[in-house]
Amino acid sequence: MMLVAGIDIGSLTAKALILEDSKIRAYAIIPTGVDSEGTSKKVMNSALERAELSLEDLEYVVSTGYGRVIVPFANKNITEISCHAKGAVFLFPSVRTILDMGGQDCKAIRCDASGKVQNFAMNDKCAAGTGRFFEIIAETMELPLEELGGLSLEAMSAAKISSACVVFAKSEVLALLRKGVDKKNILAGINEAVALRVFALLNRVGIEKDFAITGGIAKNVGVVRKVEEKVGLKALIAEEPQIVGALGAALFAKEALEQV
Amino acid sequence: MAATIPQIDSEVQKQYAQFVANFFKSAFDARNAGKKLVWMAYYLPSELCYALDAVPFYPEIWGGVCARQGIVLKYLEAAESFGYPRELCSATKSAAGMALSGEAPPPDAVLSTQPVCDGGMKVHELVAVRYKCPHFFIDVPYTKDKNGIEYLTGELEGALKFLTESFGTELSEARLKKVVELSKRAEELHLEVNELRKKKPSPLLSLELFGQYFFPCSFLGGTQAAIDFYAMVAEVAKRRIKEGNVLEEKYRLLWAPLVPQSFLSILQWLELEYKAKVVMEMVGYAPKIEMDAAKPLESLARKTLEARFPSLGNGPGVLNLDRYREIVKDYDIDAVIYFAHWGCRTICSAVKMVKDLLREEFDVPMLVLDGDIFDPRNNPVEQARARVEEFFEMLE
Repeated sequence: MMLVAGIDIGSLTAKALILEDSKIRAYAIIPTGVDSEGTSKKVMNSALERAELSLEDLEYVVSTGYGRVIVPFANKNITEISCHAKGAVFLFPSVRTILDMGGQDCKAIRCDASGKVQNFAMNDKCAAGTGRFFEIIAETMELPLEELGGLSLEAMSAAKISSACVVFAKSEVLALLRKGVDKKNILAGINEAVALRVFALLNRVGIEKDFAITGGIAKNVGVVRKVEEKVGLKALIAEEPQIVGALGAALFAKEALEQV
Repeated sequence: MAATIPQIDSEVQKQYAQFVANFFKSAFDARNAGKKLVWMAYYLPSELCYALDAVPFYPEIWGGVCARQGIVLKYLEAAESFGYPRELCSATKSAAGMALSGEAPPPDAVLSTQPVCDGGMKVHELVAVRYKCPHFFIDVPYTKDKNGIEYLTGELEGALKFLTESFGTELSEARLKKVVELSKRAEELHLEVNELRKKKPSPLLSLELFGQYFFPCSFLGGTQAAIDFYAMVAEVAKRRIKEGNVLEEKYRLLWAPLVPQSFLSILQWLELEYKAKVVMEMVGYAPKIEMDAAKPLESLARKTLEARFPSLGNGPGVLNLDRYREIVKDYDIDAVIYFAHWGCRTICSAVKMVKDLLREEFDVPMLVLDGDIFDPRNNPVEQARARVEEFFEMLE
């Protein structure tokens, strides 16, 4: 039995996943605190507890995400783009295009059948379409974050949101709220603006079937629906899309161990 | 906060630093030395000044030096306080800020031109107004054919006439020819240095001249100092090759189009972490220029039209693609890192064209890094490092 782990320290959440041979044994997701090293220990301990294992049981650990270099128990660190591609292809072997919508950035990734990255593009200069963006929109509209997607699907029409920039979009949302525009219609408009932006990002790498969305925003059904409309493809989404990067890291750990 | 600039024990780098310091010291000392000072757009040939024993001052290049020293913000803030927008090119704004703050050597004349951008052109007008000094605009065509050369030769003649009238001096034809002869020699030596950079592994380090191998030819063209400098660099490169004292390389990189001040630390990291060496920069490329001291102004016109700033806006961007083709082939480039300076429309708009060319014709991947050429407030160095890591993971 081979026990390895992947740990993904993202800007908003930290994820740890334990792989037993090729099967996910346990995982954990917690918010990333200011102490990334402490967060990495906490999330790994949480996953280990669920797997009824200790750190010593793990034969190899690969870290990824923005905080990957500060994970003290990682044997190796690999960037999140490689890990998301690896994880997505493991879950959906036919996937060749991945949209990772994380806490702080969006990445469009093209990969081959083995999950090796062929091309990638990242959003630049702004947080449009990221977890942080939707957190701010939720705060502005005084709505629970997890309800944004479902509510947007109930919209009668999409309000016009001209910018996906956090600052400008927030101003536009406030102006629309003052005008009395239905919150559902505003949310639909926001999703439309975000979808347009990520569609452009995807086009930069070239969209090839099949298509998957990973990261926390994949849980927002409203955004997913709009992106699918733009792309013209049904998005493959993991049961827990936030752990795809950690899964990829664990798969790299498994490969590293097999090569030894 | 200014980015930490890695130090390497390099004769080339030490002498380059001294060389740049001397160049700008001469500008700051010009008035005391009884010499005329000319603020120039950085597309224009320094030889015009040296022919008249005047001193050129390139404000945007001084802005780059100040950025490296972590003191450029005062100029940017001066320009922004005056009303220049935050989004405007920081190179242009640094020049405006120097003029507005009065913390730069005052010009006796200003020479401007339209390449490489509208902002650069307009800021020299501001300088002339601010200092109440005469200003001459050199119209640079973008065609390098006979008509273009003739036209620019006439423009340069007009510029020299303007300077002599403004300064109340006379042009010595003999001196002009001598200056062009020196310029020609520096160009030849720069070519020699770049030939040496084609060797595998390349004998010079990415960071040694901060990616500015063009500096001596561009701004000290027509001086013995430029010749001595390139001769020294060539000698160092040859010695390293002979002694086998050359840093190993796995990837040969082209850096385009400009090397930002904030990313200098990345250059050395690339070499150490990935054995990825910048073996050529778009601004470090040495074009072959037909120069003949017997035809001094025509020679300077040819040199100006072979500008070292491709992708930076003299004519349609497509005209610059041949230089990418030449470099990728001649230097056996494995990958290109393209710095998209936020404030520059021409650099940013060329991204797709260059990326497509590299992929379709050479299957060479290109990484695009976003940032600001000078502004320390827009220096996402860690984000750039993250993207570089992703990029090299993909290559490996």
